[in-house]
Amino acid sequence: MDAIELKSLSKSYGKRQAVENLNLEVITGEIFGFVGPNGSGKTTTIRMIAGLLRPTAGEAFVEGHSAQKSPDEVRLRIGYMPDYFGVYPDLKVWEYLDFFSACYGIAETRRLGLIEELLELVDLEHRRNDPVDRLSRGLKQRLSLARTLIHDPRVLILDEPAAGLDPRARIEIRALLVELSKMGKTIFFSTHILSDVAEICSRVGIIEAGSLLAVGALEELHLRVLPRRRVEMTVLEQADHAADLLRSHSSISEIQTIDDRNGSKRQKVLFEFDGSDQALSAVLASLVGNNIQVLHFREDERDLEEVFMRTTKGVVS
Amino acid sequence: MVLKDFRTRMRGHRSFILITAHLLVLILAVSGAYLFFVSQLTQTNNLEDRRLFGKAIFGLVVWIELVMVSFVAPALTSGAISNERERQTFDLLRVTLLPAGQLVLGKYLPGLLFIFLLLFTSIPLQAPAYLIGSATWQEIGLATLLLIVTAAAFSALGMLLSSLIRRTLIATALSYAITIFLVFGVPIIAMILLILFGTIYTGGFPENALITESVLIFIGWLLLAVTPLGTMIGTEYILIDQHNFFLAHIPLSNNTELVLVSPWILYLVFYLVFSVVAVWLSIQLVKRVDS
Repeated sequence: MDAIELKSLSKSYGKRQAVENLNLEVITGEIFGFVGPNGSGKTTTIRMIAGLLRPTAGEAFVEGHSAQKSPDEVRLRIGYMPDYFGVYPDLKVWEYLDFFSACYGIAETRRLGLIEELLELVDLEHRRNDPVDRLSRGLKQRLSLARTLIHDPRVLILDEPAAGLDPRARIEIRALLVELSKMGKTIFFSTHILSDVAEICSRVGIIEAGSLLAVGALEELHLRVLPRRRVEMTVLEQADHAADLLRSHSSISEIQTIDDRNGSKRQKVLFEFDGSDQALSAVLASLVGNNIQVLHFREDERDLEEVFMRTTKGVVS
Repeated sequence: MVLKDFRTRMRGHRSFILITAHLLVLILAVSGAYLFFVSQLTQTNNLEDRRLFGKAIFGLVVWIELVMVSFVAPALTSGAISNERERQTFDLLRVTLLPAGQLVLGKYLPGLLFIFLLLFTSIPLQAPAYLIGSATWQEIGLATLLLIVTAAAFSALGMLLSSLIRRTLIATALSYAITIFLVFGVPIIAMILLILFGTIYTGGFPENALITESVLIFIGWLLLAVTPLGTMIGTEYILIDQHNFFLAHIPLSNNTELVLVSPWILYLVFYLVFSVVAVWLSIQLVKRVDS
């Protein structure tokens, strides 16, 4: 059974279509990155999964339970973290968690131990008696994550968990998510920070103007939008000779040579290649065999940014 | 929810200021009244005057408390739900397993308990009336009951508006508008109607207009019974004038009487029903999924 399943999920506000016919499955145990520009429908989708917003059409399921028809079953299974931090300014850190654990009906005798465990997990045990309002944004985000875990949900739905955080706090949150994934949690999180997704997600969904444009593992998506491998190499002076040699390979196309801007003898050769790792290795061997002085030879990383830019069109719903 | 609400409420300065201000107003009023009556008593000094003096002190304290409850109660609850929305904690609560009923009651009861705390702190200020011994147990019991029901009703009004309206400021303003209408507006309307009909029927009602007279008295009675102040004065008047706790005998133009239940009974029924309906509606509004 999928952890999350969206079936023809749609939401419109009058004539504006915020989410349109979304079909998606999030596999149990994976970290799924829901990527899209601002206003693309990420938060609307997440609110519908959490049962906070009624869809215009379609249905959202969490572990087989409809968010619309069995909201309590869904609430029991999800830990929801919105893209803002709701504060009770007069509560201390431990009281904040204590309050939410009471809201989940956790027995008073269990609460204290549970709170200590969670504070340790998010590394906030030294701030347990501080008023919530005095925490930095990064710490508040960690506390927020602790709150979503209070009832030990199997599925975490996180809306922009790293938004507005400094680089260190972002890395820490990312590390926490990986740790939670290792603990068996399914994590569905929205973001527009592509490096976070590339770093930790097993699969990605790209949404724009309320429509899901692409879903899959990063490699898959990359192959879909850029089916040929892109290779960059640096040679000493013999770029034209190298280009001629490359042209003799039928699997190579789009060859470009670029002189070094600083006037040095280094020259770059870019080309696209369609073939296996062994074939690419043979290309390099043939270049070296023909006395081309290769200084640097690398395949472009399959980065999400490229996939994102090629998939989306900059449309806002 | 109740515990959290008390924690946050009592940690701020607001509660301390509210209790202090409430007690100061009562102290000033009771001291003023006491000094005034003492100066009057030195001139007359008879037992009946002392009795009236005691009743006046008691009535004054209850009246101030009634007005205070009418205005403090909606203020304490009119931000209960809308504040959660403004603080962006409402969705966090809605995704928990906390039932809507518990959320609403968890917000409603602390407000109510805080009012009881205010009333409790003012008990010593009623002492002069008890010392003189003029207030009967019926009057004390009834005053307490009216105060509790008033607190419950006006808290429920604040709660309902807080669930209905997203902005606390608007919910509070509307709560006050309705409270002012009920506390001061309705008696003014009743007075205007009285003057109006008094002008129409100068010299009394004609004998064949018995039904009209009865209906007008009944409407006036209902208007009296929906205002805290009118109920208090009306009930006290019947108690003193007719020595009847439950029924009022209103003389008609044809020398017969119209028997009506005492205003406090109508008041209790009206405001208790209102409280239950308002809290129930709040629960339904909180339960609603955004569309």
